[in-house]
Amino acid sequence: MWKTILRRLLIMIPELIVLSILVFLLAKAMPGDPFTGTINPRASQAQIHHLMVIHGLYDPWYQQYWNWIVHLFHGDLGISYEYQEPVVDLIRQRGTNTLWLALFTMVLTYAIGLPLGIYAGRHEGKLQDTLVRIYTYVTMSIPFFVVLVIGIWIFGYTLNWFPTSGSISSQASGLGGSLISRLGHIILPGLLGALFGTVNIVQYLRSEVIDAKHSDYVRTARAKGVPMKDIYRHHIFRNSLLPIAAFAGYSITGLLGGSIFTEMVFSYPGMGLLFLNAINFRDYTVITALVLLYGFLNLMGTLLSDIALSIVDPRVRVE
Amino acid sequence: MAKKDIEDVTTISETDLARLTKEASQEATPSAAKIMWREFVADKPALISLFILVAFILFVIIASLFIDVPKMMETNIMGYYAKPFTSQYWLGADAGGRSIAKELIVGSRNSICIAIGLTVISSTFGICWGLISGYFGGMVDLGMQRVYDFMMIIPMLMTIIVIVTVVPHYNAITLTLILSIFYWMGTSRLIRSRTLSESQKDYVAASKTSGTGNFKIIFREIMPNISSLIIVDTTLSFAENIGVETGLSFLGFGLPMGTPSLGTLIANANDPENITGYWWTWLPAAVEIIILCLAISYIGQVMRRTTNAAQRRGKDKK
Amino acid sequence: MVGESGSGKSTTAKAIIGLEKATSGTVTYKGKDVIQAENRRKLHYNHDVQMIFQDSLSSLNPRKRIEDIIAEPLRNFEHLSKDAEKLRVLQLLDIVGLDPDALYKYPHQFSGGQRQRIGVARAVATHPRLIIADEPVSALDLSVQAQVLNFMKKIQRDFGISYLFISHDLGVVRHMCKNIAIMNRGRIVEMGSREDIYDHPMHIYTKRLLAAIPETNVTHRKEHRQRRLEIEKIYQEQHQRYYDKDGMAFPLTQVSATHAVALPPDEAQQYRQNKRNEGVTI
Repeated sequence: MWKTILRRLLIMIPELIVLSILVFLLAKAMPGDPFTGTINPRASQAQIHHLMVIHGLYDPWYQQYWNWIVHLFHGDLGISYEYQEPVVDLIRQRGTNTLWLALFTMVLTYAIGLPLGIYAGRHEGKLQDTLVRIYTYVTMSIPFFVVLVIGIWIFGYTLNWFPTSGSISSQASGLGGSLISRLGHIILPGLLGALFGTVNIVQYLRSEVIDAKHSDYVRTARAKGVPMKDIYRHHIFRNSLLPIAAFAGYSITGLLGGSIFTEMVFSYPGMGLLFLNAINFRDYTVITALVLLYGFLNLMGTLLSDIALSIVDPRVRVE
Repeated sequence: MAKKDIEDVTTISETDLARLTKEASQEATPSAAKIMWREFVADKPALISLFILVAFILFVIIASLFIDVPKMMETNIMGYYAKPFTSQYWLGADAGGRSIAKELIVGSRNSICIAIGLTVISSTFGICWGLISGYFGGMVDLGMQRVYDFMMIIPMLMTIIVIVTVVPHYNAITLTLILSIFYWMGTSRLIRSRTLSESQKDYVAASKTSGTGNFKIIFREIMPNISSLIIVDTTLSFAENIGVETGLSFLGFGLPMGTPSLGTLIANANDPENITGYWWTWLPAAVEIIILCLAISYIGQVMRRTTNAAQRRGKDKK
Repeated sequence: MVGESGSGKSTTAKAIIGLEKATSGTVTYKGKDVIQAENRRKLHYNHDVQMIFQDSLSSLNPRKRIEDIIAEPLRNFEHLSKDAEKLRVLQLLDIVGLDPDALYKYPHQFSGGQRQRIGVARAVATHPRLIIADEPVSALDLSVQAQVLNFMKKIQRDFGISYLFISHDLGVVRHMCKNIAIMNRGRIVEMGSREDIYDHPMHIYTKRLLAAIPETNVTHRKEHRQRRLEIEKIYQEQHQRYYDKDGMAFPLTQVSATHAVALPPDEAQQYRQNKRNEGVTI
């Protein structure tokens, strides 16, 4: 058990180092210097040159990388050239928005996916199962960004049920009011994300339940006269639900990747939108920080899932 | 003990050989492709989607040959947001007065071709990766798995966007190559696990003791045995890959300016005025992508069913 | 080679033919260590040493025709012309008693016994000197077993091929083998000619194994049962003596020209003593 965790942690270190170098070099390779167009347009060459020296932008790349890493360990991600604000603060503000959306989506995904998967598995081969399979087939096939666009068009602009941009309305007042306003802004994107993100859960659970249904231990229980309802509760659910819970970490990758599209379509001021703006303004510090953060979150997600799975399923453990 | 040679103990001669070589292999097991074709003939909706898909791809490729792309992309003030269903603009025009119908045809061609290219490159790479990793096992597998793990933690979309902005003069081909770097992992994982179990079978051991080389065993012995899995996976990744380039173009980091794509057309919807007032600028492209992906994915589902003999609908004609 | 499942028979076989890497020790062929893949290739080792597998279905590639399956070792080692190769395959099929029509069929179109004969034909194709047969008939019906075994014996007579015949079926082994090695817990505990093993078993494990052969003679049922119980009792009392602290068998001691047994140290000492004495008297 502990060996598994330790091994996973050790593997993490080189991955993190390679990731950070990759991210840093990519940011360095971006064309144009970060000051062009963002500071006083009348600034002379000499002034820009001076700024470059101050920010250490003429040093060799490994020197700059090292400085960057040292600052990183002090929790200093630099200052955004575009917003003239520490990147850490910027990410903190935007991050909370993204976090709320991601959490909401994840909860909804499980709330929709778990019952559907079990339901389909229980009624294997019947009409209900076919309907669920058509649902998964449709949600799996359509690219998510198209879903978002159609969704905001129908429910946002045409029906006017949901706000189409921002994360909180400016008229919202008081704790309750702002909470409701916040929720209103994430319901549509969260619901779309959840409805179109259940495929893995539903398919996995469905086949798990079907496998369990035909397994010998369930047949034995049936032969003893245990009612099917109790078999589901005591045997099948326990065996299939734990791994599903452990998958939550893996789904972080998908949620974060999708957040860029969601935030773009809904003009939702989260990290994804921040990233797109940073790319347009060549805001190196923000870009590197965000890519690194996303990579780190992916890493933590898989780490958590791996560990959780090894607790749940002894066969996964490494000795 | 007197050793005899193989020739001495049999009565088979060259005349028998001549007779047999004439015999065609009538009782041959139908190949994976043949079984799939039979299944399609039996399943009318699948046959229709396959037909529509192939016809549509051929249509956009041929039709786009007759369209002068630079001229099409020129701004034409007269056609500013022209309404659809007129003789000149039968799907209307966008803010630049460009015909949506023409853009749709050229854009479909571009998007489909990139998706095909991406599928071919990334699947080939993923299949080779999975086969080699699964067949050799041991240290080779361990090393290759580490690379796989690392690729999985990279924030894919962000990295692609950064690379696209870094690469100076990129076009459709470089874009396809860049995307291919990031979309082989799913295939490789699938192929690896099947190869692992396939490599345990005795026919692989028999080939080894018969003196067959490793790579010949991988590509001539194991690969034919997982061919149905490969065909199904490739089809499904094709449906997925249509979303990759279009999604990127939708964000504004796909095909360069002036090259229409289904994604750039849908990106018209990013403007609140367009999305409500000028629906014809983006809705046709969105609907087209949905239909395309559903059709390809459906074909993939039918193919998957053929690999599961119990669910086959097409009758084995014997 | 005989032994219970998990005793290491298949591992030994696979190490000899090069399918599995030996953790220690050497396998020598023509003065070269064939554990090294390099040496195997140079010697054309697999031209001379071939293998028959237990599971006839999984040992034949389901996607290939019989012709290609049997011709595989020929293509790698003999480089015959197309017609000569086809002729050779037909002859091989004839040797194992299959119709020439089999040439263009696929493995799943045959019965288990026929498939195993195809496996035999493939192993014989290059005219090897040694064929390792890893439980070649244990997956087959009894009636078919005899058929396949008789083909194997006939081939042995005709071509002068040695078999390393691995089995846990003592009846089959008695029918097939001149020299027998008994394996237990990863080591050989007794090795000798057929007569040595069946008539004068010396290791406690061998005795027990032989006692386990079912007897079909109903009239002597009681006596057989009695004998089995006796041996089991002796085994329970003495088996400590035959294995060292770690539960491993002792090194083999030569007890006659053909017979070697993993005796406990004290008995082994005695045998060595006797041998020396004999040497003196002669």
